[in-house]
Amino acid sequence: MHCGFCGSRFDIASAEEVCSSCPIATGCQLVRCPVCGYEMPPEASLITVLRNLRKAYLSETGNGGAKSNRQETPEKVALSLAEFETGIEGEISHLETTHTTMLRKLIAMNLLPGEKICLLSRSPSFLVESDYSQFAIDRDLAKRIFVKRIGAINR
Amino acid sequence: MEVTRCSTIVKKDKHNGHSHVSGQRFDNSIPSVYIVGNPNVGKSVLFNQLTGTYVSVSNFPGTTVELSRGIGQINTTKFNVIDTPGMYRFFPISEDELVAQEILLHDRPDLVIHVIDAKNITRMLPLTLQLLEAGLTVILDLNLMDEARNLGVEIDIKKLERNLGIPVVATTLTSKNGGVHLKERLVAQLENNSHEKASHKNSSHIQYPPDIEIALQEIEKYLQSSYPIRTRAIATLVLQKDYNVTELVREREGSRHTKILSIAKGVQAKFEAPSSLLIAESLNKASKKILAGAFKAGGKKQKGIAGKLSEAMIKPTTGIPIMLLALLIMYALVGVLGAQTLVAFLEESVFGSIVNPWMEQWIDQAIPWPVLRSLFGGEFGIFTMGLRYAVAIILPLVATFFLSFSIIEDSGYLPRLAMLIDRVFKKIGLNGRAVIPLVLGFGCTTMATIVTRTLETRRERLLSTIFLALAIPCSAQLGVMLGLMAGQPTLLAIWSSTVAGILLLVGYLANKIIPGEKANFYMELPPLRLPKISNIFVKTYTRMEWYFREVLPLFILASLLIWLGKLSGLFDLIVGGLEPLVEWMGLPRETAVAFLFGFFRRDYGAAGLFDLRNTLSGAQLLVAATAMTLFVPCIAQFAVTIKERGFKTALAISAFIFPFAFLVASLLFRVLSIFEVS
Repeated sequence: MHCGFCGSRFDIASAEEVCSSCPIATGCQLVRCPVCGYEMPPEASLITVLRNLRKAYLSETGNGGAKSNRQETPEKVALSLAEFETGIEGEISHLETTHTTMLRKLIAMNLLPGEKICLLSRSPSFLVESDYSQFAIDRDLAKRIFVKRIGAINR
Repeated sequence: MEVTRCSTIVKKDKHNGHSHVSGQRFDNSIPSVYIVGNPNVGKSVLFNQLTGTYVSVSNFPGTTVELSRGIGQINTTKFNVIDTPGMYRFFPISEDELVAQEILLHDRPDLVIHVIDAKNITRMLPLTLQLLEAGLTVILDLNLMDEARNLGVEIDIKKLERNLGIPVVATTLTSKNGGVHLKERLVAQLENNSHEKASHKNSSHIQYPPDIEIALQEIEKYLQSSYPIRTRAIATLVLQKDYNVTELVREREGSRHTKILSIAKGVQAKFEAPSSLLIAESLNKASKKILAGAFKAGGKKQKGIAGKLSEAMIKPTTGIPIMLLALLIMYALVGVLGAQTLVAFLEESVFGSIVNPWMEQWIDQAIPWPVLRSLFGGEFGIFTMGLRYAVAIILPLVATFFLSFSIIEDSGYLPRLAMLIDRVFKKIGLNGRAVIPLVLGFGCTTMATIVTRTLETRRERLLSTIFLALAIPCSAQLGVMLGLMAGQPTLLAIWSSTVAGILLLVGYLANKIIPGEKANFYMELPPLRLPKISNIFVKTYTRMEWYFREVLPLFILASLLIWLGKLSGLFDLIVGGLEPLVEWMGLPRETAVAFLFGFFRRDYGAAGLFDLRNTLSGAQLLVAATAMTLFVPCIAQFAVTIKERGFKTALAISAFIFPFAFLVASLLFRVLSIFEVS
């Protein structure tokens, strides 16, 4: 999200890092900008939904008639793992987080750009297969991993 | 990221280079070999084979919280062996990984054996490269080769050895394959070491992006004091914002430290992605280059029964029934076989009709003074009560609990349980990972309090310590509780739902109140394995022996203290003080003694209740059991809580629990009497 005061862009998780030492952080609904320290309420979920709808609408119309051959296009839109289909092989395109510990966890599991993974299930937690290992991660981590589809594997 | 513990370890180290591995099982005059690697790749198996001793081998991360050390000997070469907690990369996430990093940073190991899971070499080789970058002498052990071969994975060991420039050995340690070869290479390397201190030409495996490379070289220029590992590794760790190393540099470099930090900041500004990610990607690329031509991935795993079972354990619709089934089996083992059959046999047949009468008779003959007689025999005697409680009541319960826990642990069910339960745990401020200390708490809350170290944030460690002290009964206590209410399922249901409800309520409130960062859940799911019977028995026996050795002196001490208390009248004074409290909960006065015992050990108190079970009504049993479960932790757990969380926190936790337990129990009593339940 964007800071309403200084305008810098940050992700909410790294803002929470700033809050961890605050005694009332857990009962507090405000987000604190990690750059300038300005506090504001996070974007309402309704706004986020509307924004995403608009984004989806724009990309649909932008693609126009290309919708039919979307399956063959090699350069596909990267989706976060939270929105990715299960049972499909994908390649991690990028990670969207600057949160130190989150990054460390992803690095520890070697869930890095270029790695091929397959989402096995999304409930109760996200289960990811990479090489010969399986990792369980929560939704919050899954949201940071962006994946491009590269084809189906046998389920 | 939790950082409080690291600085104290660093400080300790300044005075004493070997502070982590002091103790009688460490010989400074011989070389030391460190076993390093991911969790669950067979490090403990290797340790056992090198030293010939036994440490617990398990199928879940976090088993090796304390360092295991031993002395190994091959032919005439003697060496120290140190087994480190599992780590994924050279930077720590949780406290146990911190321990592993600390050791490598300060102990100047003569040799590191990096154990990896052969089939997952692509994912694990980056750590090897980090170890080499640090200038350590490394042997790479590709373990679990049988699993890799079965999957059709091909690894050209010779080529890998050439590409890496270090010895590479393929092993299947569980079936003792390749162990001899590994030992030969180990000896050769140690001898080689003594001639020439390893000078690696192989740290140039990794190619960083040019800007990072320049920054690293600049930082290295400013690192002028001496470090136990290469300055190149120190520099990359500073760029990755590793707290521990940054602190070390701050201590050693003084004013140069600010310059170093500004270089790190400067290079970060040039990239959108964090430096740690760029470095990780370079490492990943480097290991892929090394593996090119030496590694061929095999086919995908066959799903098989294990795969299907694993899926079923994770899905809530099937997972919850499986969890309940696991609990039921545990109850059948601990509650029925342990608490009823074995306890009855040992207590009545062995102690009641053989040991105790014989003991009383012997004491009457041998000891002429009645005062001293009551120390060994009688109601609270060392032999008649202390020994009887330990052997006849506690031992069968602990044995059956550890037996069932070992089976569950070795099967690899726990990480699946963690995944299943993560969302519920998030509500009480923990994540799925906390399932391990909490489930372990059902074995021994003292041990479990130590294991809370594997949790990531201070907040989670505090919360789980509170839950362990408040609402998790240990195996001995649980067993006695189950025995107490055996055959009365209604009581058992009310008791367990009250305790679980309290856990959730306190968790929910504590989650709202206690500050600190929440941690994301991530966990590797090891494959489900059929537990090996021999391993289960060895493990159960080892834990039983450990427990018994820990518990017996305390029971004897408790008997002694009670005897002294009785003699001096202090005992009656405290019991007298507790009596109104006990009556407030609607319990007969005699139970006060059991509560007093509870101070010494939870199970001791519960065993005291067990003795009184025939004089109590159902409602009284329920109230007493609830109070005893929530009631203060035993002395050992209290001591460990002080050690792990600090004196103030431990005291605060007890100050909350003590009145709270009695309050809940008395409320329960009042509710029960309103509904006229007896």
